[in-house]
Amino acid sequence: MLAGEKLFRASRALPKEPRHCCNSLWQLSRTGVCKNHQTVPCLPAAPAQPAAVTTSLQPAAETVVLSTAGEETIAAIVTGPAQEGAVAIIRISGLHAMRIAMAVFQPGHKPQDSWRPRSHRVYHGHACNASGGVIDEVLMLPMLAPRSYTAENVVELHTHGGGVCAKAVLQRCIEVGARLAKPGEFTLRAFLNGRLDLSQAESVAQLVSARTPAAAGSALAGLQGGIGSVIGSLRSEAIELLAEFEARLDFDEDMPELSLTAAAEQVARLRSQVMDALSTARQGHLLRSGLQVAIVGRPNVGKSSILNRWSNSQRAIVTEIAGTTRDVVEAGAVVGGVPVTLLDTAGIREASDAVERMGVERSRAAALAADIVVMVIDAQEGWTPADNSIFQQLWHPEPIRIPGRHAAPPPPRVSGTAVLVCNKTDLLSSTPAASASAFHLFSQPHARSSAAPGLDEAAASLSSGSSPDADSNCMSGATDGDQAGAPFPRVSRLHADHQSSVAAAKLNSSLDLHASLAQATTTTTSTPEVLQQGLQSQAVLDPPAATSVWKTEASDGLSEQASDLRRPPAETNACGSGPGSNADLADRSHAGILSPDDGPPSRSNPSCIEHDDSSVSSGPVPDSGSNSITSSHYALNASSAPESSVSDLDGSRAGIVSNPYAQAGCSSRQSSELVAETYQPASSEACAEHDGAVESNPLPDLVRAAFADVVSASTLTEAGVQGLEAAVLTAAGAPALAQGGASWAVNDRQAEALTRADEALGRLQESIQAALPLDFWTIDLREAVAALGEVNGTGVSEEVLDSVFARFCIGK
Amino acid sequence: MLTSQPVNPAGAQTRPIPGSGALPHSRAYHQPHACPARQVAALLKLRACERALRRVVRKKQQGLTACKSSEASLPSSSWDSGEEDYDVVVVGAGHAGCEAALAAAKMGCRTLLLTLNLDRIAWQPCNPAVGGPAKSQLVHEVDALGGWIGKLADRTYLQKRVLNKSKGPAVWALRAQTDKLEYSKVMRNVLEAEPNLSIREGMATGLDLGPNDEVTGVRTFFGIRFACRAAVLTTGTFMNGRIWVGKASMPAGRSGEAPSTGLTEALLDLGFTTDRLKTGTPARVDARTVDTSQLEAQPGDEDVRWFSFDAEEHVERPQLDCHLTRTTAATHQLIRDNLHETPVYGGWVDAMGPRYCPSIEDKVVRFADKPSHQVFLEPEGRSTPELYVQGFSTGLPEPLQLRLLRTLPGLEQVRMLRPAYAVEYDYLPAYQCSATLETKRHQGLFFSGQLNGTTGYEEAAAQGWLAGVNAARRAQSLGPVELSRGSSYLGTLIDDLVTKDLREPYRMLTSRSEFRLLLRSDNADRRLTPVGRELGLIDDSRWQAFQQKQRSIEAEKERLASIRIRAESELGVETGEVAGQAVSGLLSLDAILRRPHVHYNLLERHGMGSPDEHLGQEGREAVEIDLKYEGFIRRQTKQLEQMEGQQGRRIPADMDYSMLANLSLEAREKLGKATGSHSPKGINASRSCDTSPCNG
Repeated sequence: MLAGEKLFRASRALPKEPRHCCNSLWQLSRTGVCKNHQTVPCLPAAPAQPAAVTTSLQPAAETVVLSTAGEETIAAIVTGPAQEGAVAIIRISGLHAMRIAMAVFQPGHKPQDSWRPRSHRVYHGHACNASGGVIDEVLMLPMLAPRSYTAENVVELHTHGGGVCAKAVLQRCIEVGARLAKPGEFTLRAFLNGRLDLSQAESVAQLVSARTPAAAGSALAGLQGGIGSVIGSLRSEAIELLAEFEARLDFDEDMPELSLTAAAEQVARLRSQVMDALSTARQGHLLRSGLQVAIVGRPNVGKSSILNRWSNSQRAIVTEIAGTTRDVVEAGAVVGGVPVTLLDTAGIREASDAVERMGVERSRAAALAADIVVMVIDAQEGWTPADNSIFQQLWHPEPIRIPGRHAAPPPPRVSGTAVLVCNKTDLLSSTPAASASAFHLFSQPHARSSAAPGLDEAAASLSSGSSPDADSNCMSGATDGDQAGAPFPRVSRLHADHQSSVAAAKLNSSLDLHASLAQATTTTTSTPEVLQQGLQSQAVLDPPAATSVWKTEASDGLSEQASDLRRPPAETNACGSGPGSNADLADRSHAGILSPDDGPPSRSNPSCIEHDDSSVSSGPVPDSGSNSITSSHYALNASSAPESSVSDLDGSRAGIVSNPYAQAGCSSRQSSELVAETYQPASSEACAEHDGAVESNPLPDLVRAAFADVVSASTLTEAGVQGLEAAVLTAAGAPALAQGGASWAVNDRQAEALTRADEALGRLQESIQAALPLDFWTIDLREAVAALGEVNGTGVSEEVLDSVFARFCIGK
Repeated sequence: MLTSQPVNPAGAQTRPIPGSGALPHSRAYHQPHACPARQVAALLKLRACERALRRVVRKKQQGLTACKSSEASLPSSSWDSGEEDYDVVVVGAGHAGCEAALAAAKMGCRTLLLTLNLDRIAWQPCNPAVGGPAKSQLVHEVDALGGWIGKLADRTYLQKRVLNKSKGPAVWALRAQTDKLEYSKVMRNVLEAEPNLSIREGMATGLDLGPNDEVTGVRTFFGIRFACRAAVLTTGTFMNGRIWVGKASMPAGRSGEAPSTGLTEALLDLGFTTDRLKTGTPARVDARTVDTSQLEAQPGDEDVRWFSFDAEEHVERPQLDCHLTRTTAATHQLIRDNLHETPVYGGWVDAMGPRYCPSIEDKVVRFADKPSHQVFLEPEGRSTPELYVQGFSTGLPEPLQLRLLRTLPGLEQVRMLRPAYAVEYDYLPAYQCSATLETKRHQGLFFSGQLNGTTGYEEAAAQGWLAGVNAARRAQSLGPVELSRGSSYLGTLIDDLVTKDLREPYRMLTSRSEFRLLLRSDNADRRLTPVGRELGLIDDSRWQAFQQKQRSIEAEKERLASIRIRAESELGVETGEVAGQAVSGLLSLDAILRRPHVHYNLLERHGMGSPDEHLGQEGREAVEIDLKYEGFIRRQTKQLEQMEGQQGRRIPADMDYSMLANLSLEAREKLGKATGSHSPKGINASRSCDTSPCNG
């Protein structure tokens, strides 16, 4: 009875919602203007009545349906602090921008009835107050939607700078209906209106806050769509691959067989591209936030000179007098586009002077808080006990013993990456041998660090728990490799040397530790330098292989002995507690390192522990017997330092190393002495002759290990500084910046999404490897696509289907 | 006319309601029975096993009330008003309508099923097949919920095959060719056997509304008014349908059937938006004129699988072969020469058909580099020589169609029985419905099936079930039933429909679900049968079988975890060989089953199979899938939980979506549309609007 009579007179002519040709704002974001509306709209006549303008402006606004259409018109001074600069710009954006501007602006020429401001033209005139009084002489630039920054109607008024005029004009704009814009609101509107994608909007903020040209360049690259387009194309590649998979699930009958290898290759390619994008994250972070670099070292090694040289200033006072710098001195520098804050610190020593003591304390604090710690030593003197002492204090501080408390909390230690600078190399040139040797000592590791892939590999294998390469390299002992390209020739040489001692030890079936170690000592000390260097390499490379394999072999037999030998290092500590002889110092350094509770992380390979009896999976053990001495050696570590943990493995590069010491050290004072002799053959003599040159004061492995890089430098040469800069950037994780590259970089939010994409692709690779059914591949690939989409802010599902239908011949 | 209702054992059928004319329509349902007490008792006896006690009591009370009020009101004849009274009226007896009507009737509602043609009930106008990727999951789900499509397919199949066998358990897809004549007949029998259900021929042309804009009745072309508390419209392609063959067109719902006119206009009058879609179906040819000897035969699977979880339906039938032929160079040439004769390339129809059903001319043009396309010849029934030419739909005029068919190997002498045609029809974009498929505008009015812009019998049946259940709940004044996206393909389907724009008929695909690993065929009963039981659609014997199966699955998992074997044992050694990884130590059986490439039959070969006879093939598969893919399943479950966790957060009703910074523009537009009078209910609903929050 209600609808009855309506039934038959219904017509289908119900008006549909009007569709605007421009309502797809996507178009706008690409071209800035809809194709159908390319004619520049002409503005209305100069208004007698503001209201008239509003209405006649309607058509221009109507052609584009903006997300922010319903929002207020906003205005702000966009040229920063108004006190500076001769010109200030007020931007007005929103539907009523034109009306507001015209209420403020009076054209300079005599207004005719037909005069209308046109979009994208500049007009000269005056800003007037309500009573018509002139506030300022201004330029007006109308930019009508959608061809403006926010895609709304935008009018800019250029006033005189200095603060007063611009504020008065802005005030007038607000009086006639604008609202003061919030920070970033113009860009927000640009994003909301599809003018920018999310990564571009973020780039704008970065561009505005950039502190160096490189940072600005990177942000600009991002703004121009660098991130968006790269991630976008990555994502569409992933979608195409997903379409390949999905099509085979939904349209089985229509599709040819999937090529497994092609799919696997494409996933690998995708993943490496994601990684590439991700690798810019660190760089981006550095460009945005900069770096704090603390320069530490003994007094009078040239820290302040480095600061001055680096910052191109005379910020710090440089004298011959040790201890000139008393406080932390700050200076700014730009390293590869990264804004760097340099902190010169007081030389660290046992100071009697109360002021100097406070300075030393501040040095410590600065080092602990810095992103990068540059430790400076004197190339002429090599690694001195005083250096060692500083090293201990900063990197391996002893726990503060509080009476009555059983366990002391671990004291803070340097967490940033560290670079060792061997300064004053220029002074070495007088003694060619010494300089050669210094070069030998310090540049060797440097050279190795240039073979960083190898290092990374070792690090990677550390965390992954298996390192077949390292194994074979360390265990083969046959390759006497100095051949070019062999990544770790010295390792093999070490083992060649070890063979003899090992052979001797083989006789000792009871695995008498002392005897074996003594044997080893006698044999190896004959070639101390080779061993030293070998161990340097080994220290970096061995841990996963050596510890895991050897430990498992001998752990049973040795654990008993080890536990006998393992005693708290109190005694050691006590003996090294005061500043004393050099030998004591050397000793103390070891004691500090070796004490089980605060020793450096020793490496073990948990995955191998599980395979007690199956040596198969833990790597090749060519001759278990011949390795017994080494085995026993390492086994100590395994049994006595069970707490050596995997969690340490993922630490900074500085922490990768230090194995032999830790292992040896974990035993006892007795063995630590032995080891000290073994691995630091020169230390006692060197310390005896305090003024010995570098070759007698070589760099201990542990120390070498704590530093990401060792740089020889002279504050007198530019080259030294450049080397240092490169080392710092590399240590900070952005080696590319050293080459002056400043392309776009992902920010933290994008990096997080990219990391998820990377993880998902990793799982996908596993699924393909494990020959899981196709359906399972899609799960992770979808996740990757979704994560990639988050970088730009785009959705997924329909696109997969679009791709499927666009590319394959499907269906009934 | 009412007394001419067919089979009705209880006699408890629709009657003219004395006195209803004197009452507001909205109350009319209160007077359903002339002599209610006895009839209700008979009803109860019939379906006692299916009824919860609560409902029995309610029903009795209702009966008594009705008795009283009919005594109180005037006994004037309702024949005068031309009225009949139902709880639920379902318009259209296709796959959606039948499910809707059966569900509503089973739930105790007096239900009328109104159809244009009683001989075309549950007709399969296109491919007579049920299942396939994603569609089979829908069928399993509907069956698990107490629907009928699975049983019908199991009862009338000509051939069954499992697709995607190697591609993971979540995408295994059972597909059955069915006998379309038998299907229709069996469905009609099922409908007729349902005591609460009447079937009736008639063309609905309008709806009656009560004072609160709620539906109170359905009117037909010939002037009958069926009073109801809820109406389900399932009009398929019939609303203003027009079919095309070449340039010729005529108004028709399907080939040879008149369209339904008037209803679209009535709905437009009520303020609904309609739009137009297009789809098509290929030619049918005479099997006796096809030389199958030179064609590749596609036999069914020997190990026949079933759609229904009800073991009583598992009755094997002899299977027929399908055949595979291919297009030839001559086919492609003929098409290219005559492109101007096709509606799309000739330019007189701009609407493209659905992308998953491209016409043969589309395939030839768009994939010009492919020298040949597959064409399947599928039987349409045991008693008809009709063959469905799958993969060969075309917009070419009829004379050319035959020439085109004759270019296919094996079809050189073929005779055509029906030409291929395209059909255009009105649909109601489903954002006008809530997730119960009730329209947002009018309480008690439900849209379901192809009317909502979907395609496919399975999609229709699934919607029909949901609309039927909710119509019944509405008529019984009970709360609505919704299925979430994470619960089922059915939930995904509905969610997509009510939140997304369509540009082509919506077909269910596995890639539409984010959680397809959780929404497998094998666990459809685990997911949904409890829901069906709760609604009163699963009877006791089925419920017991379900519970027994679940107990067996759990027990088997425990057994597998508790038995350990040595690596050196025969089973251990073979496990290592099959999996390609060495095994060592002691191994539990479930650990063996988790190894790649190891299947349950390996355990059985070594005498380690389950002793539980209730477990069955499906049970064993369920156990194996649960164990083998545990990690993936857990991960997806977590994702689902995260998504559903957000569902709790309600979007304020007055939310202005255009102000949300984190939604894509497209999503903002859609949300604005979906809003209408009702906003999507939760964050979740908006998430499914193809959005991607920028901040994760």
